[in-house]
Amino acid sequence: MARLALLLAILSSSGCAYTIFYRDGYTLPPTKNRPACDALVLKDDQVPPPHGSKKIGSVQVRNESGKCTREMLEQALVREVCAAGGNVALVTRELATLAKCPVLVADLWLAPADFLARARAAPTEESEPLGNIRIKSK
Amino acid sequence: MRPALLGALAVLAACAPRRILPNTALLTRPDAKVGIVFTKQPEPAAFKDGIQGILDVAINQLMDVRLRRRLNQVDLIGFTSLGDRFASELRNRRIAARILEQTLDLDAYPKSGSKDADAFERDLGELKAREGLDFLIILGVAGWGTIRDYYGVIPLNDPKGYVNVMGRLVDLNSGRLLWQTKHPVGLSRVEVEGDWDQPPDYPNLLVAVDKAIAKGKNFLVREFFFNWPAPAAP
Repeated sequence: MARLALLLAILSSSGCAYTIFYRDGYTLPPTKNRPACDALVLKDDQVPPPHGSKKIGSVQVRNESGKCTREMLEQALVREVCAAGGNVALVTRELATLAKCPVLVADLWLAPADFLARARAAPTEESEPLGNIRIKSK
Repeated sequence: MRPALLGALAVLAACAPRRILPNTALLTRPDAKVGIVFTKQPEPAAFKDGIQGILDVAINQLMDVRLRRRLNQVDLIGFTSLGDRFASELRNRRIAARILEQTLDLDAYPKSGSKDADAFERDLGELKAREGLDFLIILGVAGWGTIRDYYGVIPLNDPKGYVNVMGRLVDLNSGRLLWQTKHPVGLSRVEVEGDWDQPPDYPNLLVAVDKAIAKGKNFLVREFFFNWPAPAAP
């Protein structure tokens, strides 16, 4: 069973409070001064796990205050993956809670140097998702 | 212990093929003739995941009869636009690819008989000769519709839009698989926005199905093209 450890709770001036749980026994000392880095938040249906990269942890980011947007939670992921020495947070699940507060489940990765450039050059998602199905004419 | 079936879970997970990361070096040969083909699309279904006994499956089938009736009225029309997207991305990489008009019925081709782990399961020699191709990109939908998790007869969540896509690249000269991927179970679901239980038309649920198809298409594009260098500027 995955061991969950509560490590950090941040309350920003915007009222967005979130909690990060680390899983799989991975622990990271809480740090106030997170290093700036060029990390990327990806969804796992956008890219496969990066080649030659090393998984360094798994986290769950919970929106505690109900005032965090998905972008705020992604920024939290960026800070965490940077602090852990990685460069990619791969969101494997996004749970929508009853209160419509998203919970992001993500793996943290240290990917090869050219990974970010390739990820950014990859084809973008289709913007018009509808129209793939239709009701049969009677 | 009460006898239990893994039900749809077994159907969805047991035959998952080994993932082969794309080896696209050969495609860039100037004389490479590349084709894109789709497998026959299955009918939509209301998949049921989780542990269910035989009686549970029968009861659950009865309970969602209205949803299945609605799904039977739905056609999948947008998946094959993925062929244009693949052709366009290949063109950006200076590779001309032709989309084959006929769907591929793999059962119509003899088994390859090769024990090589990378060998394609069928001998496509006849197709190679007929179409004059060196490489074939095979895209398809293994299943689509809705999916819901159960424990016995107890639904564990609301139904979601669902698709299970697969993609392969076959070197028709050697019969080797150069790419193989299938949507991982659990990543091919789309939550319904708003109320899902809207019989008889289930409009919100069908939107989720539609989005799941789009998600599956994006998955295949990413899986195939992610490891290529960025396209040359026009």
